[in-house]
Amino acid sequence: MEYIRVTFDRTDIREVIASGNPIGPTEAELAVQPNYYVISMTGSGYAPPYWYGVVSGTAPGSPMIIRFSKA
Amino acid sequence: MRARFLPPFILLPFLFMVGGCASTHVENTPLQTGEANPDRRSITPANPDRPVILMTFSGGGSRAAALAESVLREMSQTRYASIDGPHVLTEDVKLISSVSGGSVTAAWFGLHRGPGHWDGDLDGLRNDFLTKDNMAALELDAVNPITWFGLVTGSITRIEALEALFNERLYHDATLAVLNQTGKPYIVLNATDMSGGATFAMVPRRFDDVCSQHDALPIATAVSASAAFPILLTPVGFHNYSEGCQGQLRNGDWIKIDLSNPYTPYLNLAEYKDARYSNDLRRGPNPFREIDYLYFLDGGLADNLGTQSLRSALIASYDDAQVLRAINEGKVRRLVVIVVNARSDPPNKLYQQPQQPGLVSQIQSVTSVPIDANTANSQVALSALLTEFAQAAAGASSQAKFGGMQVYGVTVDYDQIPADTPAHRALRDAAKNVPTSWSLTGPQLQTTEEAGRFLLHRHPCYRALLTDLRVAQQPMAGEDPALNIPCTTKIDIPKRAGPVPSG
Repeated sequence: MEYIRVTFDRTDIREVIASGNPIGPTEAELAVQPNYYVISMTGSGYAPPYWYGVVSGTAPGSPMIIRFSKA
Repeated sequence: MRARFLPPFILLPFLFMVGGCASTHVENTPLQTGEANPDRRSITPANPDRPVILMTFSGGGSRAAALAESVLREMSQTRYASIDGPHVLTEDVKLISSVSGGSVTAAWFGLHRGPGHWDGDLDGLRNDFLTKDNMAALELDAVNPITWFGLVTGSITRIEALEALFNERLYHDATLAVLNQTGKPYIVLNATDMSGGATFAMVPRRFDDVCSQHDALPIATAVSASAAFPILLTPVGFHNYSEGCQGQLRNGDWIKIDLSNPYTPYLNLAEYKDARYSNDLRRGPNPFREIDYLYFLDGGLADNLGTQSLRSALIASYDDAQVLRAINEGKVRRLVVIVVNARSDPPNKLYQQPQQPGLVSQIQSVTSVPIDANTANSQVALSALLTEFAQAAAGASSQAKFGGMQVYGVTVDYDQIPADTPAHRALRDAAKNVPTSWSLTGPQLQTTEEAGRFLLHRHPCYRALLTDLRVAQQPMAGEDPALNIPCTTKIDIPKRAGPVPSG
């Protein structure tokens, strides 16, 4: 398994969407399978509109951090 | 009366060869315009302290059905107290992935489990099927001249006899819609696509792929597809209605993304193949195969434990069960995976035979050895995944809501019956000698059920679960009380200061 954490706004928790499917909340460490992903969030008002790339080589407690900011 | 006819063991193969020319009887119906295949079930527990139990039931005819029944029965008699009141463990069964004979019990349990019947009316399964001579019923059907006529003309296929038996004795015209309801466990009946060798799970997501109505399929047909042992039974046929599909299908973004990047085949080959299969079925761009019809045989050919669909439910983000999402959200604090393997292992006369083995012996080996090897590999892969989950939960940061989740990996396997006493050896040998058939003798049923109870009750991870749920446990007869085998998937985490992950 691999691990990511999507950061946006701690006061505005969104659902993380990985290649079209919800996988868990923002600001939390999430377990995912190793793969190439297109990551976005529910709702609007964030940038960039999506992140894409390979999730691999992570470990529990050392997730890949994916950042979104307010648009 | 039967003496007037050829014995069934001679008659049946002849009729079946002739009947093999029968035209395809398509069992599925297309989605209409705007129609969807919603999944109404959820694995999320009522509260995070309740266990989430995922199970697999292997193939093996009535032996497998009885072993699964005995494991469920033991769980239904295990009571524990949670913050929301008293419960039995069968209330917490959220998913069963099953194959062949295991599918008989899985579908029955899914049909009957509910408030007031948390055991899934297992006595009914026992009385209506496990104690009956089902093979006699199938043979009698075959010696009926009307059935002969149907087999020869193709108006009846061989699988229909099994479907009729299941329907009459167990499912009574119920369809998959009855299983696909809020509060029901996910029952994943697995068949093998005989052309491509892929597992075809009878779940709404997969029915989307062939633009077909999931809920309309009779349970007896789905179980028969999962149990259509090759050569003896004809395959169950489906039509792929995806050409010009007007149904409302699930989001297929993951399919497009997995097939259009160069990394997925290297990072996650299993998901890549699943995406390619879905794309082929949906008649997406650049198909690997053009699929007009699907023919299903026994799910055990591809995966005799049913672990592939359980693995998908556990970690695939596109699977309707969404177990990983619930884990990521901190809604699962106790993850229990119980694999019930009814593999028999009768004495093999070849070990004492000086002559070269004949054709029949070789065919038996060719049909069983690869399945057994595949089964062993998939079991190892599942154990490794559960260990990885346990380690991740134990080593998680404070930002991980799955931190502290306990994982209990339980396997019920005849090879775990110890050979330490004459009584244990007798139980092991008797259990491994029960043949694969749709009929069991009274002693065979009794042996199988005893083995199931014994193995579940004795498993270190099951015992660890009961301890953690504060269930009083009695040592089993003849058991060494000093024997303390650890649960390998459970990692006890020392209490740490800091925020407790919330649900």
